[in-house]
Amino acid sequence: MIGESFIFALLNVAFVLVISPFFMMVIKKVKARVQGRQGPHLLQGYYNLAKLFRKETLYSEYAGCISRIAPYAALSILLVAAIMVPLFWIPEQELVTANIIVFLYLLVAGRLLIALLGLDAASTFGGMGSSREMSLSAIIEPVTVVVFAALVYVTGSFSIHDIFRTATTIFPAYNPTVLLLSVPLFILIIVETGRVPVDNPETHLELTMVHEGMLLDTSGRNLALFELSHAVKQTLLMAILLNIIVPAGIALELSVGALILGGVLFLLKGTVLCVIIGLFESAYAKMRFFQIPNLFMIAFFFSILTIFIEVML
Amino acid sequence: MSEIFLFIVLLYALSGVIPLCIRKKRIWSVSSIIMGGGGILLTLFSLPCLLVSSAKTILFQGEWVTFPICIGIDRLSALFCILLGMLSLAVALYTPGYLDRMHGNRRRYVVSGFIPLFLLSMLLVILAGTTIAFLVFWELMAILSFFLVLTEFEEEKTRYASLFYLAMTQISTVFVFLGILLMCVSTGSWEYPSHLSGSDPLISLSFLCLFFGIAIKSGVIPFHKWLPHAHPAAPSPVSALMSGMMISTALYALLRVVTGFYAPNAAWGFLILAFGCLSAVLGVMYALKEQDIKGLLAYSSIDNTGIILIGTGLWVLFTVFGSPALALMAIAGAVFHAISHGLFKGLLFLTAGSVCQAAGTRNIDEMGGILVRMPWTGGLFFIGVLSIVSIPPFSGFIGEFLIIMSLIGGLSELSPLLQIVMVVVLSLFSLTGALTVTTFVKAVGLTFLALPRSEGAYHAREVPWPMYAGPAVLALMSAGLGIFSGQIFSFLGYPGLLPDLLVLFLLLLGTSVLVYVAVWSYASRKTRITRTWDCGMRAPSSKMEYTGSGFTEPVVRFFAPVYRTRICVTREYLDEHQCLFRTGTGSIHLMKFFEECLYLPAARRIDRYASLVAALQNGDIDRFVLYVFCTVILLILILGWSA
Repeated sequence: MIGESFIFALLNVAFVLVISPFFMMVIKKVKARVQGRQGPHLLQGYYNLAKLFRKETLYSEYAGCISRIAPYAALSILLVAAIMVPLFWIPEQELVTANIIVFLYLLVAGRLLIALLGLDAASTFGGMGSSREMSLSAIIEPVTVVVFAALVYVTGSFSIHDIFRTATTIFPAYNPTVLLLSVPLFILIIVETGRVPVDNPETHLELTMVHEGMLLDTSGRNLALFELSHAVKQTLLMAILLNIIVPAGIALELSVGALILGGVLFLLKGTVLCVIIGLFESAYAKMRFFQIPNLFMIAFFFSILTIFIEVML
Repeated sequence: MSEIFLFIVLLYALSGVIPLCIRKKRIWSVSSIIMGGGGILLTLFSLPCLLVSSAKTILFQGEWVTFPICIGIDRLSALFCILLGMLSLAVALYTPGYLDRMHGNRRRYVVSGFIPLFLLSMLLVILAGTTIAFLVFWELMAILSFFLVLTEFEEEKTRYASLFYLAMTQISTVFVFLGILLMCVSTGSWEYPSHLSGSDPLISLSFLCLFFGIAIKSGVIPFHKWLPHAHPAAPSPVSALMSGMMISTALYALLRVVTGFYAPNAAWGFLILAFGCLSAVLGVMYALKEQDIKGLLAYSSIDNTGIILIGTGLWVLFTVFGSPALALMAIAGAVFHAISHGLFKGLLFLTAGSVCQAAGTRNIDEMGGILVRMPWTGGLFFIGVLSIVSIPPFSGFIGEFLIIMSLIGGLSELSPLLQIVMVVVLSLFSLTGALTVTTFVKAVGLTFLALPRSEGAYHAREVPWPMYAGPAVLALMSAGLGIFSGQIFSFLGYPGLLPDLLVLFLLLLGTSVLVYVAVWSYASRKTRITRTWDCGMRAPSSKMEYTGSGFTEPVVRFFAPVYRTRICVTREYLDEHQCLFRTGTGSIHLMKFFEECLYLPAARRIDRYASLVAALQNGDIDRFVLYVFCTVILLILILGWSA
């Protein structure tokens, strides 16, 4: 049994690492097409990472050990979080607890490190980025917890594995609570991965940037690690949404055929979701910073509504 | 058993008396060694009490002017004794170095003498077994801490803080005294009662009195105003003890009262929960805005008190509404958080104290770049921060995790009305958690990272080794308690309450090593240290960095209704149509809501009443003779009437 969960951990983490840059590029491609541009090649994400890993790393002369540690720690935290979220196969036993609250706090740990990194290099842009990031996270956090609480309430389990397993059995396709939950989960992806209308990943304009501002002073392998961990975070959040609203195809036992089918189906589902995210991003303008809480309130409202509907049903 | 205990008390008393009586150079190092020994012995002494039984072991019994005095230890008090022992050890290691660098001569002897006595008084509060003993030691603790706050008496702010503290702590004692008296009236004994219930209004009244007395002492909002004044004003080892231990002692009293003295009552549960939410959210919001690093930590203590109150209130509600499993989770979370808060807050105050001493300022905006200059202190502070912002697997995570789990569990088990309460508390609780992260990113980022913002910070140097060995003990405990939390809980007889964080920790460690090795062996190793961004200028200066107020400005804007910032603008014009602007001022004020709407009106009312009384006392002998004469006549009349 323990062997099986080890295999799961390795496969899941490897799969996440491999497909995450691809998903990033799908979104970029969709946005470029909407804007009437050709857009990057779908494999460009991998080339970028390879290039960055080969380049020289620069440290600011004022930076301390946070700048040295944070890139590795951020990716490791997300890889451990990746063990908690099954993408295409749910094993019978959890290697490490897959408690959804622990998962959430691991994401907080990653954010804390990046925010400190932003302050480490003594540049104004870093401070600006981390101030904005921490302010936004202060308001999105309660929303996230309530969304996850609604999820736990509907499925009756704290473990992400069990939540997905329940999703495959009890959820018929058009259950109202599932549809309601998908709205806050989608907003969560938009916020946590810093996309329009909350943040703009393409710009380096000081008026708008949040996430990019914190990473402005990193380069080389450190930047590659951060980009990778950002992509991994997006894939994990996407997996939570996908495996709850369209759980079809996720493997429940260990067999080569089921695994391949699950993997391919997840890739397809993920690509469709990325297209939707890309279209969503293209359809909106960047919100004014102090307007963003309104968006969060929508997510909050929908998750509360889910709980109330579930109480009444 | 009781001999060992008396020996521990003797050690503490001895280390307190030595520096007060013997004026030799650096006598405090001797007294600290004795105190540290006492701390270790106390921890070792309490451990078996924690493991063996939950029944009470009597250590000392006697009588004091017909009042029974009893001292005993059980599981709950053993837990807090261990905390006290560890904090004694840390402070014992830290204090000599701190005192060496402190100015003033005689006060150093007083501080080093009063610290062990203060610890002893808290130990006796925790171990007290009768209400009257509790009251005596409670008052002793208040008085000793008042003198310790007054250490730097030549500063106006310190005098104000300590007087404010004295007034509040006396009000607290009055309430506790009243509660104890009422309890004695209704039960007829000074023993600790067990699970009082019934519709007797005296019982409810005694609970409310005890609750408010304890709430004032533990800094529950709106009775918190003294705390952010008094804690920063004291010398750092004392602030560490006040925030780490005195608040924990008050919380121990709360836990004892709520879980032991009275049968759970839903109304009280809601009351505790409401005060908990208020303290947690407002505490962290004020902490966020604070620019004094010790003030920030003091406000954050208020927020943690709120979290523990929430856990306790949930225990009451779950017990009343019949979910014992959730109730256990909530109270385990509250107790664990009380202990771990004591540890990491002690750690944070001690390390922050070293930084303040080295940089010569407490203002966050004048620090910066400390991590490079004081790597040990900075690293330990960072561990404390990881703990307080509840990063798994550090100890601060466990308490918050258990409380969140019980809240979400309550969401699916209870009746609709309570479900709404749970959703509200859950959102407020997670808001607290998120704002804590923001607060401590500010505290670490602006104090320790980037460029120094003042001369003092630029010349800061690392402290001598005992001054970071003390905090290191607490940091180890903080990390260890979190990592082995699952094992600790199952050892104490509560298995399955927590996921195994040891596995998580090992996995995190293993993954970090793997990632590092993979990058080291496959990626380019070329590294250059240079200027990454200079905005086209010669060299970036610290003036270009974000300041503390700038960092928190967006949050303040988001929560403007809570902060009630007032922007005052005055303008003068050259012409009567107000077109040509001549001069003006602009300023932003934080409205001190509780001070302006609660404390000052109460103070004014007391003042008015007092002035009426003062008119009677004009110091004139004739007038006083007249009073005496009138009283005698009155007495004769009354006595004659009644006869």
